[in-house]
Amino acid sequence: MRAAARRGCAAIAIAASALTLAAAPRPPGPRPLPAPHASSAPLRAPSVSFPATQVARLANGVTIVSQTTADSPLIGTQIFVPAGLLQQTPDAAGIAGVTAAMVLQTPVEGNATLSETVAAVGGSISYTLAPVDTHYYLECRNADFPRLLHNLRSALRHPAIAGLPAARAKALSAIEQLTKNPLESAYAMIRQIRYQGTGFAFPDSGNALSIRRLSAADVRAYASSYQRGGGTIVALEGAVSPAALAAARSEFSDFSSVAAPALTNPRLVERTNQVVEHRNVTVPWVAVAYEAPNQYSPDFAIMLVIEALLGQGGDVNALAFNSDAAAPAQYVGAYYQYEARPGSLIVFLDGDTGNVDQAIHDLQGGIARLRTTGLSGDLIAQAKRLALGNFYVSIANLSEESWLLGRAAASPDGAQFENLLPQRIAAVSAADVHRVAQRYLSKETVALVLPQAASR
Amino acid sequence: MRPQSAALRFTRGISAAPFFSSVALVCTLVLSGSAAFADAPASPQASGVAYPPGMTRLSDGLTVVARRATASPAAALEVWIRCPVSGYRAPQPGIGRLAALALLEQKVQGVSLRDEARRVGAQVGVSAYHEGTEIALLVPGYVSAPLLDRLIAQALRPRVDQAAFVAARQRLAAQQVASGEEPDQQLREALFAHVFASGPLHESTYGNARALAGLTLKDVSDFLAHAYVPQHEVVIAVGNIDATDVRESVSRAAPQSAASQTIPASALAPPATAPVYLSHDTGSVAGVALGWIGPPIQDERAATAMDFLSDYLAHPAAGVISKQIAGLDPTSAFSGQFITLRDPGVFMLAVNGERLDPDAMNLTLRQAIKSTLAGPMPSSDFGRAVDAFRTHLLRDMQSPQGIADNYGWYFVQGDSAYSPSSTDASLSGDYFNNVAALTPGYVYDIARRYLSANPAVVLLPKGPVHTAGAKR
Repeated sequence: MRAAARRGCAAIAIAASALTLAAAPRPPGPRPLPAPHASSAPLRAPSVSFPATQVARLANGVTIVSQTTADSPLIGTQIFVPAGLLQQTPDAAGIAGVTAAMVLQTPVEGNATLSETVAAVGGSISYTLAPVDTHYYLECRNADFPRLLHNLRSALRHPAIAGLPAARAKALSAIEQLTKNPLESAYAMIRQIRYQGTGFAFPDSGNALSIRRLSAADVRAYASSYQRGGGTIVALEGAVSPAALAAARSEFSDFSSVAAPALTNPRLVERTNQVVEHRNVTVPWVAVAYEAPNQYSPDFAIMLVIEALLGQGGDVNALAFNSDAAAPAQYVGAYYQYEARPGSLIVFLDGDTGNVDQAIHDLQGGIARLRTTGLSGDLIAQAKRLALGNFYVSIANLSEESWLLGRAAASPDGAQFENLLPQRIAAVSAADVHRVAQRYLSKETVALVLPQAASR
Repeated sequence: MRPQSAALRFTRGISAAPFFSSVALVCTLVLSGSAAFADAPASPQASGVAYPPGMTRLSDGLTVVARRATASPAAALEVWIRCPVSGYRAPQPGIGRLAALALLEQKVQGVSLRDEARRVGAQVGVSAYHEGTEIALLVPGYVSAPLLDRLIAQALRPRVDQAAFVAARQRLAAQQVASGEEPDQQLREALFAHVFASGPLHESTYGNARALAGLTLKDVSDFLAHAYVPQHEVVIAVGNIDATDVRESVSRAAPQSAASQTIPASALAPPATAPVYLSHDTGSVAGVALGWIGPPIQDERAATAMDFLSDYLAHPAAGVISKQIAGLDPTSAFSGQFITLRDPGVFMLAVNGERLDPDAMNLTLRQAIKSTLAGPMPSSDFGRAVDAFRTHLLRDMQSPQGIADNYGWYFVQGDSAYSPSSTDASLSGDYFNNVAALTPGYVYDIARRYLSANPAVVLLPKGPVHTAGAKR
C-alpha cells in the first residue's frame, strides 16, 4: 500500500532467469536465522495489526471512523470526498484538481486562507487526487482541530471563486511540465488507453483545452455535487478526543443524503496496444500495463504478491498529484494502481543502465511464466513476506494511518479490512498466483517514450 | 535540533524482488558476554546523568531505548554510535561511513543484514555524520524481534570480512559520486569544512576517492574495534515492539565493556573574512550557504532558543525566510536549521537553484538575519510562533523512525535527556520545558549573541569554475 518513496533513484535491469531463486540450503553457522525469515516457515500474519476502531455513520451517509492513540497530542484526519478523477466528465478533466487548489486558497478567517490558518498553528493541509475521490489531509494539535476542521468545511462548501485564475494557471503549468517528464508522459499514455471514456483517461491536471474552458459556474456546480454523504469518509487518527469526534459529526451533518451517481466504466481494453511518443529525453522510458483487480476485489491480496514478485517501485499514491509534493522524475519497477476501477498493474522501465528492448522482452517472459507455470512454494512464500512487509512499513505516520483507515472504512469488509488484508496476503497460494496471473496479465498496453533523436 | 538529513531516506524494495533474480539497484542514500541492567528507567545513573523514561543503561555502558507506540504496525530499530567519521588519529576521511556500510554487507550464514531485512519488506539505511553513525531499519512489527537480534549481533560485536569490505567500498564510491552531484550536500559539507579548521567536523562525511582507495580491511576492523564499544552505542527500538523483550534481548547480546577513545577535537577556523568558492565542471545549479557558530548542547536553554529561531526563520513551509525565498524564486531549494552539536552548534542557511545568483542571494539572506536582530518579537506573535514550533516538533516525531532518530542524535551529542523524543502527550521532559521557558527577550539576546557575527560563506557559482577552495 502506501510507502514513503515518492522519488526513486533506481535503475533496473531485469533478466529472465526468474525461477532460479528457490532458497539454497543454508550452511551450518553459529547463529541460526530466526524462523520467520526461513523460506520454508509458514507465514503467520498477526490477527490484529492496528488499534481498535470506532465507526459512526451519519444519517446522510457520511462515515466517521477513528483510531485513538495516546502517543502524542497530534491528530491526523483524511477527509475523502467523492470528487475524484473518475467523477470528472472527460470534457471537464482537471476540474477536481482546480477545485481542490481553490479550496486550500479560500479565505476562512478574515483574509487568511485555509492554508495560512493551518500553517499559522504549525499544522499542515494538503490534498491528493485519486481516481474515486479527492482526499484532504489535515494534521494539527487536537486543541486546534475543531476550528481548523470548521475552516476546511467552510472552504469545501464555498471555494473562493477569486482563486480560479491562479488555480487554472497552476494547472496549465503542471500540464506543460508533464510533457517534459517522460515518466509522467508514459503514465498518461497508459491511462489514455486503459481508461478511455472517463475523466481518469487524462492526466491529473487535466488538459489545456478543458482547463481553459472551466468557468466559475463549473466549479460551483462541481463543489456542490460532491457534498453528499455517500462516498464521504472522515478518518481520524491519533489524539482523537470526544470534542474532535463531535466536531467531525457537526461539520459534515449538512451533506446531502442523495446518492452519488454511478461511475462511468472505461471502455474495455480488448487487445494488446503499443503507443509511441518522441520527447526530449536522453534515454527511452517504457511502461507496460495490465489490468488488475481493485483494492476491494477478492484478488487484491494475490495481486499484491504478484507486485512483490515483480519488484514494487513505490506506493499507490506515488504518481498521484499531491499538493505537498513535486511530481516524481523517476520511478522504476511495478506500480499497482488499485484505487482505479478497474485497477492497473504497470511496470516502468528506463534505459539508463541497460537495453530497454531486452528489459521488455525479459518482463514479457516473466509474465508468461507467471501465467503458464506453477511457481515454487518457496518463491511464493518469499513474495508473500515481501508483500506483507511492504504493507506494514508503508503505514508509519498519521497521514498513512488515516489514509488506510479511510480506505478500510469504504471496503465491503468495513474497518476490519486493514486487519484482514495481512491475513489474506499470508494465505495466498501458488495456485492463486497462477489463476490471477492468467486472468489479468494479458492484453498488455505498452507505452514507449523515445528520445527525439532516435526517430530521425 | 538534529540535522534534517537525519530523517533517513531508505532505499526501497526492488532489489528484493524475488521473481527476477538479477535486478540491479543503483541507488544512493542521500545524506545521504551479557550485561545486566544497571539502573531502573528514569533513575539517576552512576555517572550522575539522568535518563528519561524508556531509556536504560546496562552495566557495560550500553544504552537502550525501548518505547512502544501503537498506531503503526511498523517499528524503527536503530543503533547509533558516537564516533568520528574520519577516524581517531591521522584523518581517514569517510571511514565511519565505510565501516557502517561494511557491517550491512557482512554475511552471516550467507545472508547480509541488508538482504535479510529486505526479504521481509524492511527498509535499511546508514547515515554517517561528523561525530556519529546511524544504522537504521524500519521493519514490520511482527518480525521486529528476530531483526533486532540480527542487528545487534552485527553492530554490538562487529566483524567484517574482505567480501563485505569490498562491497562496502563499491557502495561508498557510488555514494561519493552521487553526493558530489547534490548541490545541497556540497554546500553543507563545504560549510563545515570552512567553519572548522580540523577534526571530524572539518572532514567530509563521504570522504573522497583518494582516501577510499587507501583504506584497508584492517583500517575498518581497527575503527570498528575502537568505535563500536558499548559506552558509545545506543540501541533504539520504537513502535510496534515489546519493550521488555527488547531490553532482555539487548542485555543478552551486549558485549563486555571495552576501552573507549574520545572523539578528536574539532578546532574552529579563524573568523571568516571572505567566501569560499566551490567548483564543479558542468553544474547548471548555483548555490550559497551561510553558517554561524551557535551554543553547545550543554547550554540547553540557548540551544532551544536557536532551534526556535531556526523554526521561525527557516521551517520549510512556514519560515519567514523560507517564504521570502520562495517568493523570490519558487524554483530554488532553501534549507536552514540550527544543528545541535557537542560544542559548538552551527546555524546554517543554504539555497540552490538554476536561476540563482549566489552573490545576490548571499546579501538577501544576510539582510533577512539582520532584520531578525532589529528587536524582540511582539509577545502575541511570539506566543503563536512558539505554539507552531511545538507542533512542528511533534509532527517531526510522529513516526517510529522520527522518534528513534531524535533519541539517537541527542545520544551521540552527549545529552540524551535533552532529546525532544524524551517526552509524552503532556509535553513533559527537558526539551519541552526549555521551550516553555522561552521569552521574546531571551530569544532576542541569543539571536544577537550568535547571529550578529559575520557568517562563514560558501558560494557555488553556476557552470565550470576551477578555483576550488580559493578565496577571492
